[in-house]
Amino acid sequence: MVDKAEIFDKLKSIVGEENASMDEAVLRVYSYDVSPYKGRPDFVVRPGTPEEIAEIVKLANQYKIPVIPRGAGSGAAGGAVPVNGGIVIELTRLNRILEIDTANLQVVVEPGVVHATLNKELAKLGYFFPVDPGSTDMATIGGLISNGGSGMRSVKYGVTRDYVMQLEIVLPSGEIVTVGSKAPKSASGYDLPRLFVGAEGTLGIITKARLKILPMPQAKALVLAAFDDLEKAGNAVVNTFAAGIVPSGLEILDRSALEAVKTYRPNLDIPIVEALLLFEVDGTPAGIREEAARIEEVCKNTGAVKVDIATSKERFDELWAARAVVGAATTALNPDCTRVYEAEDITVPITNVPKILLKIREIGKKYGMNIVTFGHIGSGNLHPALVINVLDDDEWDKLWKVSEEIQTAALEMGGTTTGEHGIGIARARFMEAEHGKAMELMRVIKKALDPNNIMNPGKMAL
Amino acid sequence: MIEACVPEVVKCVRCGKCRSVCPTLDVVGWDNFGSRGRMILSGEIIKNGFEPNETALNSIFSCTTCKHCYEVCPSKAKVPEVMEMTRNILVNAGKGLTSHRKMYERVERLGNPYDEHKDRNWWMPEYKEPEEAEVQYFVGCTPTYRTNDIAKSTVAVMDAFNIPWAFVRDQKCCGSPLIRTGYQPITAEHNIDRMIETAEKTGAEIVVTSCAGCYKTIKGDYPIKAREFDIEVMHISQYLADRIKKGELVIDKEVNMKVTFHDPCHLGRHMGEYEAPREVLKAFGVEIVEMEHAKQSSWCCGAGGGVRMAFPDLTESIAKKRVKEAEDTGADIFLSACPFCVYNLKENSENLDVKDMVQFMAENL
Ligand SMILES: Cc1cc2nc3c(=O)[nH]c(=O)nc-3n(C[C@H](O)[C@H](O)[C@H](O)COP(=O)(O)OP(=O)(O)OC[C@H]3O[C@@H](n4cnc5c(N)ncnc54)[C@H](O)[C@@H]3O)c2cc1C
Repeated sequence: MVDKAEIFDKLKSIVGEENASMDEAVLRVYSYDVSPYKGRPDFVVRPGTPEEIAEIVKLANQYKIPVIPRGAGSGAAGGAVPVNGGIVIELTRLNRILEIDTANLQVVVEPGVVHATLNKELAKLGYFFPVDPGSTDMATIGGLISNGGSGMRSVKYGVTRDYVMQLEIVLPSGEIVTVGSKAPKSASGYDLPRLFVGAEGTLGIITKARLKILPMPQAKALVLAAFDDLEKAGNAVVNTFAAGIVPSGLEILDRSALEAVKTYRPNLDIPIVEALLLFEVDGTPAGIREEAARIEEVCKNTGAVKVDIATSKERFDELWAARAVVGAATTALNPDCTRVYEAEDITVPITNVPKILLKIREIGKKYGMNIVTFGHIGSGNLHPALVINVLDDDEWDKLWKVSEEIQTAALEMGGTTTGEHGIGIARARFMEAEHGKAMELMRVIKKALDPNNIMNPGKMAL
Repeated sequence: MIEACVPEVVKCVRCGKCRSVCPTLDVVGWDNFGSRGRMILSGEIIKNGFEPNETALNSIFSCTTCKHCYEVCPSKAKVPEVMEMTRNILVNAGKGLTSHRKMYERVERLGNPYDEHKDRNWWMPEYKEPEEAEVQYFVGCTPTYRTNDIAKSTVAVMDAFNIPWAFVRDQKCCGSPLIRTGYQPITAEHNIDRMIETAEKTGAEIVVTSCAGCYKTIKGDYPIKAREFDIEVMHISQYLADRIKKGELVIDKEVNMKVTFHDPCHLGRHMGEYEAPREVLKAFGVEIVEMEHAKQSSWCCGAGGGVRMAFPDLTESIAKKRVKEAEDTGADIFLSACPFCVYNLKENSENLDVKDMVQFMAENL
């Protein structure tokens, strides 16, 4: 039996009295993230330097107790939930932007920097970090990297892993290593930074990140295309790419999502149809005009009932804001209902998007659940919102069944259970089915780096 | 109360968006001192049988109820209401904070939270109720006992504009600090009775307040409607803006100054009034320069919700941040429309002059 008081004393001596806690109230608060999972930590610490983190990890190794890194706890997969107890290491005190090197198109940040803060600073200089999660106001860069996150503009700009050049990591042994390169490209050795992208804190703790940045595009426009048929909307996406256009964002809102938005924001001018596609194009003013016109043509040829082009900033912001509130609107709409983040991140090949949308509707009907679906159709990533009365056990039973069926359907269509939110505990049960023998490879890697299995154990089925 | 609180608590999906706007989390850092953490704790206490310890109580009672979290909350979880309900549950279970209990007892005993024995009208002994008036002035405890110049300025402004006014008779604390800290507004019925009485005697059917907190409480929390009594409650800035707009009050002064304005949480986010104070100030020809956080995203001064009383250090850190924002605008003067905000910000401002807008008006009329 480990002596908790002894460990706590040691933790306090590493991070300072005010940055360590085993207070019951604190432990309860750090038992959650956005997911419906819960797990009580034994300690919570808020270190201030990589060296302190290294000391904590060494201590955890000595006592063989779990270490759970945590950013903002905005993850939807239970990644930061201490399901096996242990030490939660909250990284939000490491929140400095250490270097902005616009000439070399890169920045160096600590892991606790909030995504929106980074982009606010970069915007002042005319640059941006293109990954754009809906959780920009809360997500930390460390959490974003660790969950392999992305956002609405991944169709053109890619995902977090495409922007990670170099990482400083505290390994499970407590050693501090730097992986990757400052050079804009490198063919040297294994691609170690990518090993840690999406590792969900199971292989080490990210304490610094060198990220690629880009100059901000001069102009943007939005094309809205309304369809009376999901299939046609799906075809319009395929035809747009075939026409040689890569929009910077490509979102779909189905009827359920449009109705939700309309109820939440009644004054918003938005059509209620079977499917609405939002194409964002960016670039030079002349370039975006031409691309928007071509998208309009493609959509009309594919059977759009109405196409609108929004170039004014007000209309543009209003429409993106509407897209941003869909998920949330589902909770706000009905006084008895709360959205539960389950099966909320499925991703399928683009051509299967209409099929999975229909399947989700069918599952909703079968269980009598109104599922609002929206997502990044340009990258096949959908966010079905399951909304239930969380005080009703029967509704929970239903929710688990719906979640199972939606995620199984995504896998059957050649997809994955998660496009950007990560596996954590929420989707661990699907890992074997999704990865087969590759799962064994993951276990080998995990064991090699973390023989005592102290780093975020139980996550990603590891 | 628990039955009312549970459905509101479960509205929070714990997304953490409030992390970016919670003034106490910003200072303390630990998640239990932010809105999401407080919602979790409230749930643990009222749903999951958690006997709150000192940290839990400090977390719940240190919310300034500034409502900034609600403003950004995608699920529209009513954090300030949940905090007030949870505090009420805790107070009823004998777990309220001692400083708040003492304040409650002072209001019960003296009708004000400041332990003041002085008569309400001490600063205007010559006052006689007029036979006819248009507005009733609800002065509030802070202008009466702490920032008296604001009360005097309010009167001076009304007099300068020839607005016939009367005091709401025999005022007691509006009850705002009681409601915010988990108590019942034991003075509400008394104050409503006095407003009705004053209206009957003077004909004044508009009540104006200096204080954003009194305004929110009387207009938003009092069961005035239930009394079937038609009375209009306005913040002084609204009353003046309204009449300036109608051309009934004319300001012929041009004040060549750069002004920045702090939206009091209880006037702005709680009651949705952002423009009235600005319109009044603009009538003086000043240039208004906004802070980084203004209007809907105004940063709390740190004093509300009983926090200044129970956690003065926390309040001080928050206020200093707000003062810094005001300084960064390069304004000549830092104005607000709430005596409690002004009192608090002034105490934490070394270089920049902090005033209530009525003081600015009285000086420039
Ligand atoms: C409303 C809403 C919208 C969202 N939209 C998006 C979106 O558009 N795109 C998207 O990708 N995600 C989205 N998410 C999910 C979530 O915000 C992201 O996964 C985010 O990147 C998590 O960051 P965090 O700081 O909150 O991490 P946490 O939740 O604290 O942690 C996430 C995981 O990373 C690990 N971790 C955290 N920091 C470190 C570190 N420094 N080193 C090692 N491991 C670490 C944790 O152990 C955990 O496994 C959304 C969530 C919500 C609630």
